[in-house]
Amino acid sequence: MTDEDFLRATLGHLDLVHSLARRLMPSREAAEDLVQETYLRALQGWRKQPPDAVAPWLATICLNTGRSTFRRAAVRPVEILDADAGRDVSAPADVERQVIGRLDAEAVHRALWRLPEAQREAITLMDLCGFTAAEVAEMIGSPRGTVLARVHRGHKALAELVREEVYDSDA
Amino acid sequence: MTVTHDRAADAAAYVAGELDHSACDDFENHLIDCEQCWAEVEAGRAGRAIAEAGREVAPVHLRDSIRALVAAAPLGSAPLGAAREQAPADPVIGTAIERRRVPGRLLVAAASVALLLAGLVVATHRPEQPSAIRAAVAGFREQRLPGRGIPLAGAPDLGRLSMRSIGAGSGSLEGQQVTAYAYRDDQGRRLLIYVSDEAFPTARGAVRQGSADGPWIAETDEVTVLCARRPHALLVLGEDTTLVRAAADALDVT
Repeated sequence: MTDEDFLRATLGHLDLVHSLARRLMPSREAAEDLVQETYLRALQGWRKQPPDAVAPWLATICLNTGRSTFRRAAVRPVEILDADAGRDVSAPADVERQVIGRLDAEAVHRALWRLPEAQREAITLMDLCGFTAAEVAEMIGSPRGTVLARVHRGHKALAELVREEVYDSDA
Repeated sequence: MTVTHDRAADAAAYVAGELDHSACDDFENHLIDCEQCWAEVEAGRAGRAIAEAGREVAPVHLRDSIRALVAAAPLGSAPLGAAREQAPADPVIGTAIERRRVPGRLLVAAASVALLLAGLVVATHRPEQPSAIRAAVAGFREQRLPGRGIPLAGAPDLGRLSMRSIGAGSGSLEGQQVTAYAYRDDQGRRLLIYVSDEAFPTARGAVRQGSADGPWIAETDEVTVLCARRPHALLVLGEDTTLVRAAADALDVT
């Protein structure tokens, strides 16, 4: 397996790694650095033993690299504690659906950064990278049920942020 | 099925599409009567839609940077993080990044010159694609649907290729009314299918399969485009040519 094989096998997953890095790092520049570092570390691993499944392997390297090296430099985001703890949720109204339709990637990025890190990570891996809960559980070393719970809480918190945006824009 | 009534857990698994067929049917029956679970599911779906609206594609220069860095990475080098592990926190992390960036940029510059020279040769032969094809390819690369209209028909089933539907929308592709269906598999491979009542223009450099009005296939900007006219006008786009052909076979348009 050559380095060219590595590029062939991994560059198709660049969008996935980039999406993940964007949610692990606060700025585009830091995310691009993380992507580069991920690929370099992956290359080292590839030269020793190419993986069976490339996408989860790359995502795991990106996660670990983001955690171990770059995160120390990251600005800690404002966190929303479990937005729906102890209370019921209401279904989003039509006006909120319209707002969802108008959200751009940057607005979503800002909203995701207001979530607790574990929720943001789980949502990114499942919704943006397309992994199953079982795959994510293996990557982050948590039970599948925990992954699903984080994703669900994160989803509801995001919906809450949009709801606030609707009310703010109406005010 | 006995509904556990752990609302969050049931709704989370349902929204994630991770209930098996039987459990899914049972939960949907339960949703009819349980307002709380319905609210959980709706909130979960809304959050998922928001998250999915944040999809971005990697910038083109990043791909070039990675190629250059891989070309420059020596065999048997020390662990890449070693220098950083010894460094104090924030300032030196920045320095370490800069350290990598400098050679990376130089390499990118050198690679760019080579690519430019190669590109000059290719560019003289690279055909300009019809605007609808250009827009279709851009839609694939940028993971953008042509509009927010609700499709009249559900997404074609590509389950046998392990491709799952991740989005759909109707709108205009350079004036041509289309519906697009986006798919992704667990390996991150993507497909985008456009369906239209009007025929799509033929891509420059297209290779036709079979008869004069049979499907054609072309490659542009590292994206494979397959077009069929029967039974309806349809484009299949993807980065993996084999997968694009398999999708066309699965849709029975080849």
